Amino acid sequence: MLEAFANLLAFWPLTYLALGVALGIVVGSIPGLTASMLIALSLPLTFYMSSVDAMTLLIGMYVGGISGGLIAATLLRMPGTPASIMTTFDGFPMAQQGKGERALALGIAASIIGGLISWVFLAVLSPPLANLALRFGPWEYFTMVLMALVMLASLSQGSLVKGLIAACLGMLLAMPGIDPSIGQLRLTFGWDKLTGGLALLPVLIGTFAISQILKDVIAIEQRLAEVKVMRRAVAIKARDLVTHGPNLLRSSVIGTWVGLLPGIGGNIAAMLAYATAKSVSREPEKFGKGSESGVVAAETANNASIGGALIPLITMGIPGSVVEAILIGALIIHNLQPGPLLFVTNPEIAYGVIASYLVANIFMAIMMLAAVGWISRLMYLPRAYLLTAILFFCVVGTFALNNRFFDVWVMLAFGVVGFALEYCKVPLGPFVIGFVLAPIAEEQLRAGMMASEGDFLALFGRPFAATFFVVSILTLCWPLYQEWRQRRRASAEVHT
Amino acid sequence: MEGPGREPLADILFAVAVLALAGIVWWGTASLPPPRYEPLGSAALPRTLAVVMALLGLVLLGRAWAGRRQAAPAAVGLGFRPRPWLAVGVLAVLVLYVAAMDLRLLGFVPASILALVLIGAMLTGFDRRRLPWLAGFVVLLVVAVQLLFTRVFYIDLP
Repeated sequence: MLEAFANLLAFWPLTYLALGVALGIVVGSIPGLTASMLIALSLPLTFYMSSVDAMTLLIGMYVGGISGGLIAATLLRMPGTPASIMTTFDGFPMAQQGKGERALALGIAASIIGGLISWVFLAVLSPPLANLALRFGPWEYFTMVLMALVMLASLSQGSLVKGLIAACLGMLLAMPGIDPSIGQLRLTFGWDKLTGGLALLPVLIGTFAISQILKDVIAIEQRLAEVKVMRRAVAIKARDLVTHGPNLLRSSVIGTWVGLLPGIGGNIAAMLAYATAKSVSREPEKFGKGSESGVVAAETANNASIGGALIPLITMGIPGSVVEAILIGALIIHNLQPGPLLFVTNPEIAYGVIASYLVANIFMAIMMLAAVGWISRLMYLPRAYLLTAILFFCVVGTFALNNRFFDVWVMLAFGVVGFALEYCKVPLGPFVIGFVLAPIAEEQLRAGMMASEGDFLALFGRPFAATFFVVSILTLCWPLYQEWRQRRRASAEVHT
Repeated sequence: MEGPGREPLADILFAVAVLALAGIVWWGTASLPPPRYEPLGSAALPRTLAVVMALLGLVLLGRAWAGRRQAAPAAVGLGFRPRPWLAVGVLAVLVLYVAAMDLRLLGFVPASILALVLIGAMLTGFDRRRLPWLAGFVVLLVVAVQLLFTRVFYIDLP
């Protein structure tokens, strides 16, 4: 770990980290642009960096992107990222009451505290968890992927059926090409260009960047209200940390824990922490009307969820959310195998991620406090220029992947697919994570079946695999049970 | 007035697309040889996914069909005029731009400048006062990116 910090404190890694955090904050603060979009678009540029530098840049973007969402959520009631939705509930009313700077200062303080506490969990839990995961075999991995997909589909916003369809669709789209187990061509329909399958990067850029740009173009006439921020008024006071101490600690633990669970993102973490803060508050009636505790709970939890989500990512190679799925893509692009072996084969990456996460949080707090006034002005950049430039980077970045136009066409097609899915209220998270995890799931399932000579029930002979499988089934059945109970209650009310 | 809401209609179309895709996958895996050296084979997972998707598609179709007579939820005021046709236009220019380079009708620099100026102009509502600024921005952007990729990253652009 100390070596990772020593490596990080060199000129280039620190520069990449600072650049990543700054870009993340800017993109996170502009409504309509997201951290996923920025990270997906930056992947082609990381080809030319060392793996450590690339991960440092991307972790910086991730932390900056989630934290930057605070600004638009507070000043415009527009969550810069989905993770800041809960911040709008109290941040915006505070801004309307003339306490915008106070809301921003509390949000920044909450973000850094949440980040630091979740870093402790990340640093302490990751090595032993990776050691444990080293004992996992194919059944454990298969059931863990299954659990991640089912949890993601069940807990993502919208219907369970749509979430499951999205996960299956993502997995199916990862199938065309050469079957890696036996070298058999499948689902190429005689089209040579599909032999290598669909590359991850065009799918990511299309699904997240192009579809988002299409949505932004539709809303091009949306005007943002002008709000000015007095930078000097945005200051963290030690007294606030004491006053909100229990809330900061509780929301950090909630955020880390929720982030740890596969498939649940910062928005759910913020929602849970907000609900808990409200339920234990002496003034619950103030929530939603400009409560400081509301801002603190939401911002602490969404930042803490990043540290939590990085734990399954670096210890088991299981993404907790869309951004982690993209980070897994980045590891694969750099010929690294995400999972517990990362600590053995590439400790500089595994510990580098942990070290980068801590320093990124510190950079984020410094930059946000120093430049929040400037950053808030970036929200008003002319959309025509911004969207045109992003479209151009999408095309160039995708083409640069393999120097072929097939990838660019795939990106455009997935842009339309992503837009259509969102129009039909089908969550994109399970779709992309299904696409990323399908090869791992298939490989492990087939290895497990071979080892057990075709006996699927063999997984019940392995405690971890059986537990993951049972959790998957319960996660799948729980929403159905709740729906059945609600219907029964409704029909009972009608009869009485 | 009662009529099919946006959501049930979109769900019906989505479910039909899911069923069609499941059918295509099933048909596409029909010609794959049966497994020889391992229990599952290449077709097992795609077929299983196709079956699961078809079942889920039927559930979605059933629910959407049952809810098609429900009144559409009252439209919430967006505070701005949505421009779906502008998005279609931008996408069309993007497709033409990529096609022009793929078919080698135009090189990277002229194709990019033409397409980006057109897209930018569409997004600014063809505002004549902003057009020269936009053109300048696009030329700078395209030339800078071309130099970055060809001179720094050593990647040939089309």
